[in-house]
Amino acid sequence: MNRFEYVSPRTFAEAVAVLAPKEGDVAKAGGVDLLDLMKEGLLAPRRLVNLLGVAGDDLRSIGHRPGDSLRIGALVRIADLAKDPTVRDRFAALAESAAHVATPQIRNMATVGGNLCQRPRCWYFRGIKFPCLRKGGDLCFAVDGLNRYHAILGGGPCYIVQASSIAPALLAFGARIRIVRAGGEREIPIERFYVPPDDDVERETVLAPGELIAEVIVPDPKGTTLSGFREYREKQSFDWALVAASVVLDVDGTMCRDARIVLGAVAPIPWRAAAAADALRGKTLSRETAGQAADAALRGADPMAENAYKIPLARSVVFRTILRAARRIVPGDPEA
Amino acid sequence: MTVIIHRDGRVEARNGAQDIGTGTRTLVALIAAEELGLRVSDVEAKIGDTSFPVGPASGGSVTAPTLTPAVRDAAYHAKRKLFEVAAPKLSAKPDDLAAAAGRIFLGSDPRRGLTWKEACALIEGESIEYTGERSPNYAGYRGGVAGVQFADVEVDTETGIVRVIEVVAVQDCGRVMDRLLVESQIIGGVLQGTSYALFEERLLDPATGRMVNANMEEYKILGSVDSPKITAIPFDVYNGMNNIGCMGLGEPPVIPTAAAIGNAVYNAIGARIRELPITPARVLAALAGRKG
Repeated sequence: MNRFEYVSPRTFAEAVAVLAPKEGDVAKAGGVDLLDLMKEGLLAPRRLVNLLGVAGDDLRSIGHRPGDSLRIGALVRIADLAKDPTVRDRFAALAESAAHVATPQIRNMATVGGNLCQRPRCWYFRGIKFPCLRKGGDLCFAVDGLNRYHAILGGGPCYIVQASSIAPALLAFGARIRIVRAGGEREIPIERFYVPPDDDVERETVLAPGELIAEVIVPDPKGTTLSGFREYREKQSFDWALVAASVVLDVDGTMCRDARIVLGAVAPIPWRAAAAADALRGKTLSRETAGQAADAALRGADPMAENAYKIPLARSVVFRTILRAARRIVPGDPEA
Repeated sequence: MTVIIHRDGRVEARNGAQDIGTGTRTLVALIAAEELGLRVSDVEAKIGDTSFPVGPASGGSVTAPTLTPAVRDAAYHAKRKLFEVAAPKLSAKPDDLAAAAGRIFLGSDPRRGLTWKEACALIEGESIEYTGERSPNYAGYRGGVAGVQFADVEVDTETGIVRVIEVVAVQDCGRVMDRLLVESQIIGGVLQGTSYALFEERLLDPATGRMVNANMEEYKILGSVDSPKITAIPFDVYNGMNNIGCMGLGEPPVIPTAAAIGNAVYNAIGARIRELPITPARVLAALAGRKG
């Protein structure tokens, strides 16, 4: 690891000012992915700007205004998001996705902002010896290489899968992200926060140098909203998802008025399965309609040599997550 | 292996071998204490120092079966020397003495004796020291140990995810010296075996030959949630082939686990997985093959 300077501003405004777009300045919150990137040789910051030294609760609190919105500060720890009573009660898919992040130790350190900005886990991207597209090279090594964990949807020219566990749930709830920079701020839907590889293969988010996430704003669900999250992975202790699904259902009795279904770990961005949602809208929720939606979610999947197994896995996780979200109104075991 | 009996009653057992978590230090003290008629806590096992007599390398499941007969040999001869020192005081011949329960006494009249400390106080100079050795095994040594394991697994046939619910492991290691250590070694073997049955795989990029998962994140090793319930059953076999009757236990318990898990998966889904690790992708492929 290279030598670097370390500064710890006392206020968020100061942090933003310090971070004015200069080459080599990198913001540090929990530092989980950051330390990986530095040790892997992918990042050699000239200066780390520590955000955890910022005083005050603004960036560390979860605020709920019923009928309006849930506001999650960028420095809220994943563990606190997972156990927040309001999030668990009204935004179950978000709490459940946070509860599945990594390990208890990491959840106690990692922040919401850091989780959303983490870089992909693709082993070719993480390996400094592989000059891949995402590192400015001219080849995606996964295409003819080892691609068992890579994208089955939305891939090309790079086939990473988006790594955040909570991003798909936030997308399903229609969250917006407030981004600040020295002398300004902007607010964008999280759907526009992530950059598909065919738009720009070297970045995952629209965050520009000098910009920081300040908070995530989630509109309060209207009417009767049910939600759920489910992921499959090889190891049950500390592993990345093979596939994951977040499902948000707006229901009237057993009828689905609207649905938002977003997949994780299958595409370079949180993958909105619009066809699956269309298949549920206006229908009575049942095992049959859940199955039809799951089939629709994977239409158009385009696997590589080693990852076709992710298609039945993704279909299954959509099916079971719909039933998990709807378990109060659809009888039977969601896991069966 | 050197055993030293000090004039103040302290006992040291010294060897250069290292304890890599298998309990070597405990076994060295245990055998010396048994031979000298003392408590395990009365013996100071000193190991892992190159100034001590040469010990075996940590590998090949040989540390305990190599060291402990030498401990017995050294302790026995050091004890004989102590008997020679104590015999005149008891008006007896060294051959007539015995050591047990912290005393040196006449085998024919246990009331006639000395406490361990009284006997040691008779030593001229600082200590009695004897360096013993590991003799060859007696004739008829069969070598090798046997084990059998049973696995109970749960397979999600929609996702191909395998959970190992329970493993029962019966393992022979010759004579069991310390039941807790044997059980612990068996449990460790089953955990490693479960990990390589389901997760561990060294992945080399086909174009460059570089390993892509050479880190503790992508090289998958089982964690607590993945660990089965393990029932370890040490199986005593006294074959009398050396002065301890023990054989190695370091690696043997890891051998049957993956095969037992593989058989259990076959029993559950009716399809053979012939490659490790047994990943969801391979289970789904095997299930598809069975249907076809």
